[in-house]
Amino acid sequence: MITQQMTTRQAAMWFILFQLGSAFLLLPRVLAGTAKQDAWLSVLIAIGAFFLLVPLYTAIAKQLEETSFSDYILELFGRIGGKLLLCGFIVGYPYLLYIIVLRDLSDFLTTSFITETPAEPILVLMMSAVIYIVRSGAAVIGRTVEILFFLVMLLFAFGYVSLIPSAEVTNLMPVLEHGWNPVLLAAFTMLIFPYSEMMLFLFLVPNIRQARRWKKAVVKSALVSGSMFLLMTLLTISVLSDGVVSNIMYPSYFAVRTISIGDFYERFEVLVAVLWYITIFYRLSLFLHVSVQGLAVVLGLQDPRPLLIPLSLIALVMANIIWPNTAGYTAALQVWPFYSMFFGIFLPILIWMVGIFKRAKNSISKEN
Amino acid sequence: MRRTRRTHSLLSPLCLLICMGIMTMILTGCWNRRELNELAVVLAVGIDSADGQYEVSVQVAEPSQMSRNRGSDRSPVSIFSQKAPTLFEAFRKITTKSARKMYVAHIRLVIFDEQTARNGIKEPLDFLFRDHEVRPDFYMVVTKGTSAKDVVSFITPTEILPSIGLYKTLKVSEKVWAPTSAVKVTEMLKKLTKTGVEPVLTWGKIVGDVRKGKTPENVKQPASFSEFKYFGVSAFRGDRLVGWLNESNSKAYNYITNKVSSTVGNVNCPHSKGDFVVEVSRSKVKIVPSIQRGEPRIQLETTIDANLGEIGCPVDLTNEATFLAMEEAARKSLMKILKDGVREAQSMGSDIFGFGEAFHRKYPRQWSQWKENWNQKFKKIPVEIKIDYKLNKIGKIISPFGNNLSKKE
Repeated sequence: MITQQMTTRQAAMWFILFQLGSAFLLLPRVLAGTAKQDAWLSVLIAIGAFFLLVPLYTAIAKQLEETSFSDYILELFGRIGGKLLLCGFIVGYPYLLYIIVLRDLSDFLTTSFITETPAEPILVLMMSAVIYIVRSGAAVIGRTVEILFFLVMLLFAFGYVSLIPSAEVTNLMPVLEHGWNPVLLAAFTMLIFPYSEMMLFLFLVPNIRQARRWKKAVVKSALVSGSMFLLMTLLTISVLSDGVVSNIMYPSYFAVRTISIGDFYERFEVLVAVLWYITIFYRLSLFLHVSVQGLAVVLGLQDPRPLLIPLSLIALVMANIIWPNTAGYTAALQVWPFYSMFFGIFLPILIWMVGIFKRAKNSISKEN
Repeated sequence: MRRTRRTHSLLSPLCLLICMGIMTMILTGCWNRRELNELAVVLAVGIDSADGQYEVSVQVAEPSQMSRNRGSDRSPVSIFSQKAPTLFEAFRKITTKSARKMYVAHIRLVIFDEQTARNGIKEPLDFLFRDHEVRPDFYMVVTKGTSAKDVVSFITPTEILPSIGLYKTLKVSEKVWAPTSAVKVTEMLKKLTKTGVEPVLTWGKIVGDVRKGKTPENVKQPASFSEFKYFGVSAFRGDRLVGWLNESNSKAYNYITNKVSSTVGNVNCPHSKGDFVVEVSRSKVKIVPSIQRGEPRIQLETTIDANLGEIGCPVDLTNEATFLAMEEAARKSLMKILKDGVREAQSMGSDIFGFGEAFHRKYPRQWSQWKENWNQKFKKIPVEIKIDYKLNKIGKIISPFGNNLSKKE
């Protein structure tokens, strides 16, 4: 299999769009629901906490050296154990996320724009693009992301800078009214979703070649997406107040809907949907990329491409049944961080420690 | 090698055919498209309560009347109204009367009658917030005396579409006339979720002959038989209407909540009969909460910049002392307006100024104790008003003309 190379810049851009993905629409509500008007503090804490995780991820990236992440797991846990672990991981994390994000996409479009359209056509269209780009490989993704990244930034600036005149700082007061606990809880949610999902980037280490460059991409992307989240949370809450934000399905979209300057600079909220569509596209492509790469190793396939279509077809069916209704989804979102934590934090710790242990053992046996 | 083969395969006739086939399926247009000639654009919605049900009246633009060479024999809008227990049901039931489906993305104005407002507006608003088509940028108005249906079916001068007329009147008067306050949906939403501030809505009523106002005759002569006039704001407690503020009290509300961008005020002349008028160009009120002996207190720090706009009494403006006396008179008159306004809101027990929110921000701990019975506390809260009033300019002339004559006599 030819490894496809990406530059650090391309990787950072891909990671940024990946993190913006679903969180862009959902996060303000989730944060404001817990931390009320202090949600912006949670964003700061979450980013700070994420930088504590970065050394862990980088350590694993260094351990990888030339092997890919999936091969490395096999190396650490043996052929059978490694394959079982990897299979469980892929199905339980990136592939599950692939399904969930597909559902997010259809849910958003069918509640806010095209209410009478069934989910399938929306998903099929999106998925065919995702399959095509993942089939073309990481290098192609890297090049397309360089074009679309600036479009996303432009749309973001267009939509959210126009909110500044209607922002009221009083909506952010009083600071820390309910103490630190809700703030920390919300920060934890944000650390897990979307930041700990960055452990999936470990699959891309061979595409970026060096652990050092990989780390640079991860740090850069977290800083950029983090400041975008911060700005967005500050603006949505100061424009709408926390009580409203926590009761609206897609507050960042709703906030842009309220913009009306001079009776003609208004009604462009559909741009937010465009922005979201692009970010979701890169999010989905990363999940699918990781899923097929990992499953190909599990199944012993030389070429992961034949897996693309079957996996997507299963996901298409699963996306419609993964939760029965919107209320179920809201409930699922509450337990999600605790579930996701195992893959995003505990699993990397396990891999890292086993890696150290193995290496120590190897060096001892070499000396002998 | 491999690459050339792949590009070749992409261009093969079979592949092209398949691509074209897929394209035709994708490019069929929107799934739930709605042609313009199937839609009825709703501009205003009137909501009345009638025997336990809502009566929804919608004002729909008549497309044929919007063109340049329109016939004048038809009304530019049509009104449909329907009774139903819920709003959504009523909207859908209207299709039994109208040839087109209601398109609600362009609602400019929602009008409640007094009864609906007193029963609570949360319920009717829920549909308007929940529906994906409705945009959060319409204004809301409460009508006194007449039903909302009357207001919706009323014909206004100047604008062809009555709802646009009402909408623009509200917007323009809000900018230059302190008592009116245009309340948008998002503001209402915010206030409904906050505990320390109560919402307000503009109120108005039809003055003149309601029956004649609904006929085209209303605009066939220069002076119309009746018109819809905005009076001031109405105070709510939660989502229920509790009282109407008159012009002066509404003015106080807009001053205290910093909604005045420009207005004029009438002041009695200091030493002689007659009035003079000040045009307020800048006004800023700071609500300063404090706690004295465990009890809340409010101080309103007001800064006003104003200009003399009209003088109806003989004064000599070359003399600074006279000017300062006028400034003082204007200050006192504003003081009275603010005091009366606060007293009125206190007697209604509705914290429309957001004093509670001011405490919430500054004293979150005490606020959590007071939150429950804030309405009782608000009624008794002492309010101190400080005004820093500055009269600046006097316009193009100095003293009123003819002053010298009166001095000679």
